[in-house]
Amino acid sequence: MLKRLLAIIKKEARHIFRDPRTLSIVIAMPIMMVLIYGYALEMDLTDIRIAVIDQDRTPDSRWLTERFEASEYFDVVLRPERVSDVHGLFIDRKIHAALVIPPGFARAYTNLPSAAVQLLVDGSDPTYGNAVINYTTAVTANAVTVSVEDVFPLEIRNRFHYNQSLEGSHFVIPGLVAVILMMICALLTSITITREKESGTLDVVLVSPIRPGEVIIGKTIPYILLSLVDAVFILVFAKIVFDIPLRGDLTLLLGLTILYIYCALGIGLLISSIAATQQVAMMAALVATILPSMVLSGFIFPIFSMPLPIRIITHIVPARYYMEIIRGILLKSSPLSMLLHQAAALGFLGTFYLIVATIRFQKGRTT
Amino acid sequence: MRRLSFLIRKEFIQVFRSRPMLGIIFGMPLIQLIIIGFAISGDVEHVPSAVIDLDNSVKSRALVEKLSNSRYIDILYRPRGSRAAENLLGRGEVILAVTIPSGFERDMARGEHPAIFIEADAQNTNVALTGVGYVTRIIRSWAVGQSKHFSQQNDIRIHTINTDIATWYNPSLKSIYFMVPAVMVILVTVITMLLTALAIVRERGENNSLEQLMVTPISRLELILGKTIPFGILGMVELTLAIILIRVVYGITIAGNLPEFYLMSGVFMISSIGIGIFISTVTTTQQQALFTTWFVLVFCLLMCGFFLPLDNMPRTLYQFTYINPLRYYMTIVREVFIKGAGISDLWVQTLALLAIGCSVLGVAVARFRKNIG
Repeated sequence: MLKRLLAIIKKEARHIFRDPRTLSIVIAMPIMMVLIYGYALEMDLTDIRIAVIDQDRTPDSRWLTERFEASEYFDVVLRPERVSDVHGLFIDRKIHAALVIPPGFARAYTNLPSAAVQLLVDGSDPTYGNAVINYTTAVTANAVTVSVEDVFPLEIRNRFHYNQSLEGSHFVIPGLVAVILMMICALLTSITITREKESGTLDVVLVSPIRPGEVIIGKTIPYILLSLVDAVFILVFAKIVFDIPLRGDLTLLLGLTILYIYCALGIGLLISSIAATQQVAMMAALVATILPSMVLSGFIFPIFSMPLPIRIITHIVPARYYMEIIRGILLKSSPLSMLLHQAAALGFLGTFYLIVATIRFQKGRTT
Repeated sequence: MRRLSFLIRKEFIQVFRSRPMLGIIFGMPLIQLIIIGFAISGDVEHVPSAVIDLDNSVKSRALVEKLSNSRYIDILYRPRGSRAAENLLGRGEVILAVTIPSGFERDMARGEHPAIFIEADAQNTNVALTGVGYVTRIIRSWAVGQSKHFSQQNDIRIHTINTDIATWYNPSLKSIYFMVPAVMVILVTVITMLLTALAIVRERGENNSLEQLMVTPISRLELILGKTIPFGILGMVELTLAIILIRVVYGITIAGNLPEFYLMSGVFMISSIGIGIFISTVTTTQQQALFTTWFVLVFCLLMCGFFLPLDNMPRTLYQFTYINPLRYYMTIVREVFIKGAGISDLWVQTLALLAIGCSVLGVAVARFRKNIG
């Protein structure tokens, strides 16, 4: 039995190594994703381009403009004459917002309890829109506390746990491992089995003395190893380039990663039991594995903000649980006792997908 | 001309003969636009939070009340005891924990500036920053009200600057207007690029029917056109389907001019189909074609401003975005949908797309000839 299994594993491994292009993409894709995500995911927006339309032209209005110039968040890039110019500047994406200081600002500021300025915001990109509003409120509010410092009655302090420096790479790279593992495991297994189905070689193998279970195990083991190598590779690479923390129990992480791979293989087998051609398997794998593990797993978009029906769907996405596991272990050093629920969910989902796939395979063989 | 129309018809018959393929072409937009659209366009709201009120006074309760009225944060726990925050954060029950210190009301009355402590689980940096931003904004606006009260009592004149905010194009700052049209870009790209690459590779590498075609009187130009026009048409159908779906499901309509939008989309498809043909000339099996397409697609998607703002990229990375057709098309789609920009505002992007498209298609066709000849 072991000999037959080894023969299949060897044959499949030869398949992998004979196609260096696919292999190099399997290795290069994670590196590219880690590099781009790691460098580009800087959530704290700076250099927001604003225009100041100073209709007051007094020392006070210049003082307010200077406060915006001094802020690390804003770049005062333009000083247009009229408010009507703003629409054109928004359309050309020259500025994100425009501050209008109306005539009489200085008079109001010295004589009345409050003076008004107007902020025009380009709302088409909500991330920038929100940032502009937050930062502007901070700048104008500080303008108050400076003039009458004692009046602001309290102080606000923040502390960020588990990722104190708010490094985007620490947040995104553990998540990438989840996405990439799913991609390689589910996708490659589903394609390789469908390819044999399409070319008719699967039938040949099945009528040989090899048992169907052995075929499946033999065909998947090389991909399990390949994806584990990939996962370790990503983490080591990210450790070197981005210095992401590798806290917590790494053997626990390895154990739970194998559980996740079991789930991914279940999905891959399920797809190959349904799809008749490679093209269909590829498209199905795209819809069933990669997109959910990127958007329905809390990878970037938080699950708690999604509408209820979508939140329900996320419960059958294995990446959702693995995301909590890998971030928990690497960033929070969570012990197994805190991850039992996630581990159980993975075990259950994997077994479920595998059972459905087996039933479908058997049905396909008897008919 | 007649030969060309036969080729186009053949390609359509091939696509429509396969039921699963039809399901993919018409089912994918539904799944992507509805599930993905809803999943990624939710703004950060309902952040699970805890408030630890160690003062339990009139003022602190008023502040807690203010916090619990916000839709941005959901207060799930109100534990007592200062260790509770760390515990809840550690178990992942909450993302934010706000602690009001004991003696808060008294210290505030004495002008001693008691400190409110906001703790956040920063595993997801974006959520943490946004959440802390929300809470800070709520507390600030409450505190400004308090300070006005305080200054009247103590006869201090304060001067505040009120910012009157007018948000254009998307007044509620909902991500949905920004994200849903962007999903459409992915859809159109996947259909045109991937299907073109797969269709040619299948004929060329796997069953060699392309060679048989080459010995017929069909010219190479006809062959190339016969391969590109059907997928261009499919792309346009997909685009129309997406526009209708976006309108029906999300109630988002195009603010700009529709014919101009189709024109610019057509220019974009020159690039995406060109890349598809190019990929088919450098690969021999469908599996390779798929992986190469994916590699290109992931690269293009990460570098087009879809969910990572381009302005924040390091310079060296940023320079790569200039050769990315998706970058220009993403801008076009968003500007046309949200701001109602026209081709006269977006001629730079359109020209860039045209240049990229023609060069990619040119190289692809040249390689195509060499490979076969």
